[in-house]
Amino acid sequence: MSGTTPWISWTILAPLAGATLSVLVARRAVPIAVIASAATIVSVAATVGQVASAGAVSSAAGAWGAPLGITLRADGFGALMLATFGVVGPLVSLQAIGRRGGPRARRFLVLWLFAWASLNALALSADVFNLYVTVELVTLAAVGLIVVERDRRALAAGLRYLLLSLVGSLFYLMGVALLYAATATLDTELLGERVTPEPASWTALALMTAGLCLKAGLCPLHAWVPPAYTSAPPAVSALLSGLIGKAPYVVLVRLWVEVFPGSLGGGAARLLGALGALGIFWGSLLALRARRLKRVLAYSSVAHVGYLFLFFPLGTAGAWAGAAYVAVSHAAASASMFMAVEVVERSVGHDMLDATKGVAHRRPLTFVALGLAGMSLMGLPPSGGFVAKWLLARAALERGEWWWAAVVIAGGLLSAGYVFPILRGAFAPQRRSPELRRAPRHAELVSLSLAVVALALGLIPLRLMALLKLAGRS
Amino acid sequence: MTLQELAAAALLFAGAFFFLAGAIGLLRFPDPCTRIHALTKADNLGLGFVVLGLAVEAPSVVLVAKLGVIWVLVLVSSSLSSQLIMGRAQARAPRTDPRGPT
Amino acid sequence: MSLVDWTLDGVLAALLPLIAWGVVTAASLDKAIMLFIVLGFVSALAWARLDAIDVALVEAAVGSGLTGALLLSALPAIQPRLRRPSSLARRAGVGALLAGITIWLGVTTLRLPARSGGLAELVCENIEQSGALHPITAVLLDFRGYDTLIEVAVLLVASLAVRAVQRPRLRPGRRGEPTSEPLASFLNLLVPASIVIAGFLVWEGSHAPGGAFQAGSILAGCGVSLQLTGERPALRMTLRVRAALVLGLAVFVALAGAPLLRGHDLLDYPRPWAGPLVFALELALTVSIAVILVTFFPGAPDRPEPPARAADSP
Repeated sequence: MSGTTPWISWTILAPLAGATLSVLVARRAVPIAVIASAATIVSVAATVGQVASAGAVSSAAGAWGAPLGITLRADGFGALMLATFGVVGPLVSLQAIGRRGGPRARRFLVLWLFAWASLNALALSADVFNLYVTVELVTLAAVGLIVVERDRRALAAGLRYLLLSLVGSLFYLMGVALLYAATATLDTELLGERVTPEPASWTALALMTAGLCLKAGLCPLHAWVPPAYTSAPPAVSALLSGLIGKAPYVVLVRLWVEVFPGSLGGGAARLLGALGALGIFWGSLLALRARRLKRVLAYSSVAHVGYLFLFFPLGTAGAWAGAAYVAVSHAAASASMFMAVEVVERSVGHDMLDATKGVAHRRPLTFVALGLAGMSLMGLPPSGGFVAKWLLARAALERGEWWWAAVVIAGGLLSAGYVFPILRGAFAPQRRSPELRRAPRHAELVSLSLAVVALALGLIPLRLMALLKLAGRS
Repeated sequence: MTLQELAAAALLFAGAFFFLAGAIGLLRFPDPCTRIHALTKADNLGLGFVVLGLAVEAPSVVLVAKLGVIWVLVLVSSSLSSQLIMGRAQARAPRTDPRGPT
Repeated sequence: MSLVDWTLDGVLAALLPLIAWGVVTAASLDKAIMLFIVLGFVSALAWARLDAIDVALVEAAVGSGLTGALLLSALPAIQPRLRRPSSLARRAGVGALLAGITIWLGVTTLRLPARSGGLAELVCENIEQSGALHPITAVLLDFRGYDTLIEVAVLLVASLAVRAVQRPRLRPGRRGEPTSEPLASFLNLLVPASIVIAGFLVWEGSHAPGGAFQAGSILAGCGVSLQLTGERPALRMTLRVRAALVLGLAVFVALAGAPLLRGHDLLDYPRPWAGPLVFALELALTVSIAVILVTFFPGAPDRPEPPARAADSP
């Protein structure tokens, strides 16, 4: 990494240092978190800038380099994920900063900083064992965030998530051990050169994929998703569904694209695609039947995980861009929806579907946010969700596999089915304005800004696509 | 077979005998007191003989010393744990179990 | 391999699945925990037979010792609620699936090329330049120090998460039953001895099996004994305790970040100083690992308390 500023390393160290310091000086957690977040945002922006102008940036931890050491590499995909984490995450964490102190807000901030550091580390890691370690940190920070309010239901959901997630990790780790035994390297690039079609590598791919699918909540392994997303505080659900849920998928993509590119589009990839399609339908149907706003969003997240997996059977650059776009736009839209639900829940006192009735006039910002983010979830133009689904459908048609395109379109229609009731209730004329409690102003603004991001993603797809192409793969 | 080897073998067999006796006692004796008694015999005498047997064949003095330390450590921990187990057993059930081992 | 070796390995190999089976099928939770502790010790022996002394030490100290103590101390709170047997068909299904995976993994492992020494050669070639002479320490703290950096963060986050869910009333110093006389005098011996042993293990770590994780878990075992016997109250989050919690990670982050300021890669220790730096890092990590492991224990076990109440409170 001669000559250039090592921004790539700071994207991990800055939040980590902030987290460490705020454990020590718990009383000053909020200002520390603000400073650390600012430093991290600068580092992320600088890294993305470096990637955009000069292509992939890398750094060898300890200066050893692969295969002995671990390499950090920011390619187009890594930069895109860094940017997503660096825009959505700080916005969501603003609501804790806005609450100014309080032990819950401080605990949230510390855990978020740890989660952020691990997410960035995950996006940048080019080593399958290091990816395992980062996934573990993401998982544990997520568990900490789920139980952050010491709510009993959240505790049960957090434990369930932890246990299933550990099973997933174990499978992934077994795969890493097999790959290492077969190739004597852990670096993704070297693995890509050395992996040969033999039982050990197929088994490794199967184990690692199974473990990561469990962690990502791919249907039918999504049992932990609804309880976790519905019992955690909404800001945490926003992070879980928007960012943390994407982490296993990022690892999975690295695995399939860099280590096992030959498997894309093959039989196993089709199975993943089929499970993705199943997730789209099943998640959407359950979302349609759900009576609580958070449940709707949780099942909608299950459905959106499904879209991500449509990339594997297609395996083309176009599908790749589509899936990455789903990840990014869903991160913003879903986080925005969860934050809006926080406002509704605080205002009305519950989050049943009819909670939105007549609230639009009193909380206009929130409902603009719900509308915009809902557009993106449904995939209406000109939102990010539309671009994502359009790219996926086009990639399917280009390969002549129209059924995947049909799945995408059907999924979009179904999502309209569960997003509209939320909005309809909100904008329905109401004779008498309901009594509302005070709601956090910060959450409203956060929700709106995230929704604007989700919308803006539909307006600037070309620039992001250019970034993705820098990956130089697919 | 040299005398040294014979002595080592005899000591090891003696140790094994006490372990076997201790294990049978643990399984067959009726109450915690007697079971603990059987168990400590295995730790003290059984391990003692095994350590002695190994010490006869040991190539260096340092190794003999290490074996001795192992024996002492096990003695300390077994006497302590038998104390604790019996203390707890007496506090919980001051009667002996007439049905014998289960 | 001699006959004795074969017998020993054979017995170990046969015992492991048997004990594991016993853990899964034990009639009660306390039996399962006891067998689990035995399983940990037997696998530690197996690791030692495979010449993986470092793994054996950690397995015995953490996998068996501390985990066993943790399970036992949690037992009073959960006993009444567990052990709902699932249906036979379900158990058979899960069993068949797992057996299938295990057999497949076994076959795959046996078909792996025998040559694989992994990166061992490369490690040995570069060990002179690294901060330690023992290959495992060199890998943990230098070649792949970045992994360990994140692992230490994992430990700290786990400690924070555990703290978040502990019953608050357990936290301020609660004492259990009064310690019995022999136990008290044993602890008087144990604590100083453990500190010496831990120090020895850290020192050894630079050139032989040992190091921060083993030493930290031994110190933690000491702390946990003091806490579970009621000799010392559970840790309070004073500034000193928090400092000990984060010390390892803080030193690690500083060591990772300092080279960046000088225009090098992260964790690129200045080479003549690599040895002392790695040793300082090990010391800091030992302290933090010990304290973090102790924070997993909520405090002295309850005095006989109605189990229902223990289970109900969040």
